[in-house]
Amino acid sequence: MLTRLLLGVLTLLAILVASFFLQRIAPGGPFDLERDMPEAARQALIREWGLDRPVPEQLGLYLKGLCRFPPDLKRSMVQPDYTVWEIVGPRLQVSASLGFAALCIALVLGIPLGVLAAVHDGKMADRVTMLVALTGVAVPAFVLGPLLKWIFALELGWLPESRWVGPANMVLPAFTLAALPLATAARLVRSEMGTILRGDVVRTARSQGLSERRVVFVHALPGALVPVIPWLGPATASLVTGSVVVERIFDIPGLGTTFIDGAFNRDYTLVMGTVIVYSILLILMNLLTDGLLVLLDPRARSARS
Amino acid sequence: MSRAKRVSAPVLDLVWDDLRLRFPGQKNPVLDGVGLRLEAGRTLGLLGESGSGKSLSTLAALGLLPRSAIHVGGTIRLGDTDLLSLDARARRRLLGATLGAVFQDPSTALNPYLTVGFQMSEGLRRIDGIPGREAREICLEALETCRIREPRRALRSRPHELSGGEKQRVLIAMATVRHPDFLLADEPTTALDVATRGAVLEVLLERGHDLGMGLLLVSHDIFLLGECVEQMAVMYAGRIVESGPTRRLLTSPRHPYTRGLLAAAPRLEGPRGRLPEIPGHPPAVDERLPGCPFAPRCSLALPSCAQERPAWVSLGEEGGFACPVTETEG
Amino acid sequence: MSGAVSLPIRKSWTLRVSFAFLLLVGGLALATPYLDLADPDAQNLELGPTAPSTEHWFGTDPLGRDLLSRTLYGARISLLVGLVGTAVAVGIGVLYGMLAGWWGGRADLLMMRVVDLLYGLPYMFFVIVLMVWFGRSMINLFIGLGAVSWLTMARIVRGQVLSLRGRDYVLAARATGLPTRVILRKHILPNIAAPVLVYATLTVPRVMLEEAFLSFLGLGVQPPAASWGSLISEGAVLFREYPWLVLVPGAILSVTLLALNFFGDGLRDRMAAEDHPA
Ligand code: SF4
Repeated sequence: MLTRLLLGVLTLLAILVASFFLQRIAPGGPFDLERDMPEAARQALIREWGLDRPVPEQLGLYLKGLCRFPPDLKRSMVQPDYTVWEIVGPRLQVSASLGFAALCIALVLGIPLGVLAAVHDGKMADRVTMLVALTGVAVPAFVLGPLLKWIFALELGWLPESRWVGPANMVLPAFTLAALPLATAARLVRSEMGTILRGDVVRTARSQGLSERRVVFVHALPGALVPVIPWLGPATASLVTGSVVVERIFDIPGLGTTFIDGAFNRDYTLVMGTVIVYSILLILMNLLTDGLLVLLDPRARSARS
Repeated sequence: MSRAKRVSAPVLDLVWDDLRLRFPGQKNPVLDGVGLRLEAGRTLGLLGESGSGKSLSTLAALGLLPRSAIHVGGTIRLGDTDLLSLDARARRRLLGATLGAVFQDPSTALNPYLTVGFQMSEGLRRIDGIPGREAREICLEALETCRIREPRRALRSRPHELSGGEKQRVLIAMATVRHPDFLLADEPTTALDVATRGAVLEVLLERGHDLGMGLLLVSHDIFLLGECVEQMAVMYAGRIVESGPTRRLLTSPRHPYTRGLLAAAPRLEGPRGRLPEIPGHPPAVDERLPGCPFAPRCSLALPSCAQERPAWVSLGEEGGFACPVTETEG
Repeated sequence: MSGAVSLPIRKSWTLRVSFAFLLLVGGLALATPYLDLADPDAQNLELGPTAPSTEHWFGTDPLGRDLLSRTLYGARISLLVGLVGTAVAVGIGVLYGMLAGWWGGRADLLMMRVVDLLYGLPYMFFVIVLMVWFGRSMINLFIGLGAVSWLTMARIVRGQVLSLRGRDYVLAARATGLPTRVILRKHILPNIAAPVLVYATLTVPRVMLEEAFLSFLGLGVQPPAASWGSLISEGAVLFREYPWLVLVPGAILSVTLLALNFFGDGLRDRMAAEDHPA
């Protein structure tokens, strides 16, 4: 666990350094966009932000700021009235709740769908479920989102079409975002469950005369969930990616949009701030995953105790 | 030791009658008329190479066949009940209560996520409605008679904490914890260490004897069966080719296949697995001849053997066999 | 044993249908310039956006451009990006995987650890940054998409090489002192060609999806060129009024991705069945 944590910190550092350098070697800078700014003022800004110093030195300074408590994410270069945290914080809240809702939907619907398909292997329920799952993989969020919006907001008028003001506004974006991980979870569970249902453990359970429901849920399900856990890391990454699109479609002030805007405006500090938040999120997710695996895997557990 | 007699109603025999099964995509049936009689309280050995259909015959009785298997004909009867025509619920009610089963590989048969105690007591608690504490006592006793050392610790442990031999003994205890009338054991020692095989087999036989169960022991090892069962049936390519009292089979086998098996290996420490002395291999399902499936490997084969299905020659009390050529030996 | 007999029949049905569909799409994309189509860039502001009709099968966009023609020309771009991006990904993945598998041991462990780590990152952000900061050119698009789509390929190749490494003919080649480069090219590469091709088929839809994702954000193909993704992106702005602007290219993109996935899965299953005949 400790090595894992160390590795996480190392990864974080690597990502930081990489994004830092990528920013600096790219042509252009944060103050190029304002055309009418006098050259002298631009130079003054560049000096003020230390952008004229060697890149490693800039990086050192930035990292030093991070080591403070609370970590100093600096001010936004483009909106200097705000600190990066003031911009990122509230948006993180929005994105996190959206992402969390989507992940919950994906797991709560995807796992039972996978189980259902595996139990009805080859039959109608299986085919239908897997078609749904494949559709989830093949219909991208930027098609599904507008489609859902069209049906449920514009045609039926059941749900608000966009923006982020109440729980009802969350429904469509969360489902849009959940489609891909839902489909993936269903496929993962189906394939593992299928293997387990054909395996020895289930044969033993059945030979005990246990009800099919008990066989599936008590004996087969725990094993079928195992591959879902290591997948949670990559799933979070794909949620983060997907959120960029979903936020745009549904007009949600989230972190993905912040990142894109920051990138467009060459707002170095804002981009770095977002990158840091995302990385920490992903590292935490991976740690959580590892912890869950240890908890679930009987071998790992007894090795520890 | 005297055979423990049941107080309840006399137990009926378990009878396979001309059982035929097929798999989709294959033109020949994989089980082609299996007939067996497992008498209550007695022991029967089912002998055959892998692929002969002996495991399928066992699974069929348990209702645990692969879903794709097609029932072509025949029955498996327990008294007047045809097991194959029971619905899933009724069949389930028999499992664990009337029919117990032990399979080949103990390393994968137990659920790695659940404690031994939970798995063992599940049927008692869930189906018989016995309270947990009491169920635990029953399990403890079963483990003890199966010679598990420290049964209390075993109950608390998870499968990976047990050795292979221990696991199989746990599985034997588990299969018999609800005192079924029959125990079907499919190659119960094949996957084990050579050193632990004897002990586990002993436990199995003892347990069967103590509970007065009818025991079906499936194996590919004629000498192993020869030492522990009263009756024996020899299976080849989906058919029973010879059956009868063990003594008769070992001393005066009538079917050329049985003879080949006996000739194949020396009595002591014989090679396990393959039976190398009979040339050739058992045919794949779709390569079986319409007549005697053993014909390509049989030294006595006549041209007609490949075409005409050998009729069953009954020897009365001494069983029977399926070979018209050796029938004339008298 | 029974399932293995019936399965390929069902699979090859989807394989055939998806293959036919892909041939159709590919053929249309190739033939587009020679078809009697409306100019995809010809604006007709008077006409403006229209719903699908006999004259404009897919309707027209707000600038009065024929959506059918734009969709077909878009297919060329989408497929091109998918194929070239995949080629880049295959190049990187095969090289990386071969080296990891060949070296084995610690180098392999480290290299695969890196792959694991990259799997867990929202790598599209890297491409976003690349496109924003280094210019939205086709070349950058190819490089960017290729650079993030090679992970699975590397894993597969590495596994294959690892198992080939101990084969007799490879050992013999090593014993004769052939340089590693030659062994990899002459003895290993031909033997991993089949799985590489199959997984390349599965990479194409992923790259196409990623392109569409970028184009949707306005970071992919730049106007006046249009891919399916950028058509969807353009349509999304006016989605309220003219939903077909999104739904038509969206449906086509989705069905194509579905077909590519089916096709790749089918190939993979067939290959697996050949490896382990039941
Ligand atoms: S019937 Fe013919 S082939 Fe079959 S065992 Fe008898 S002699 Fe051999």
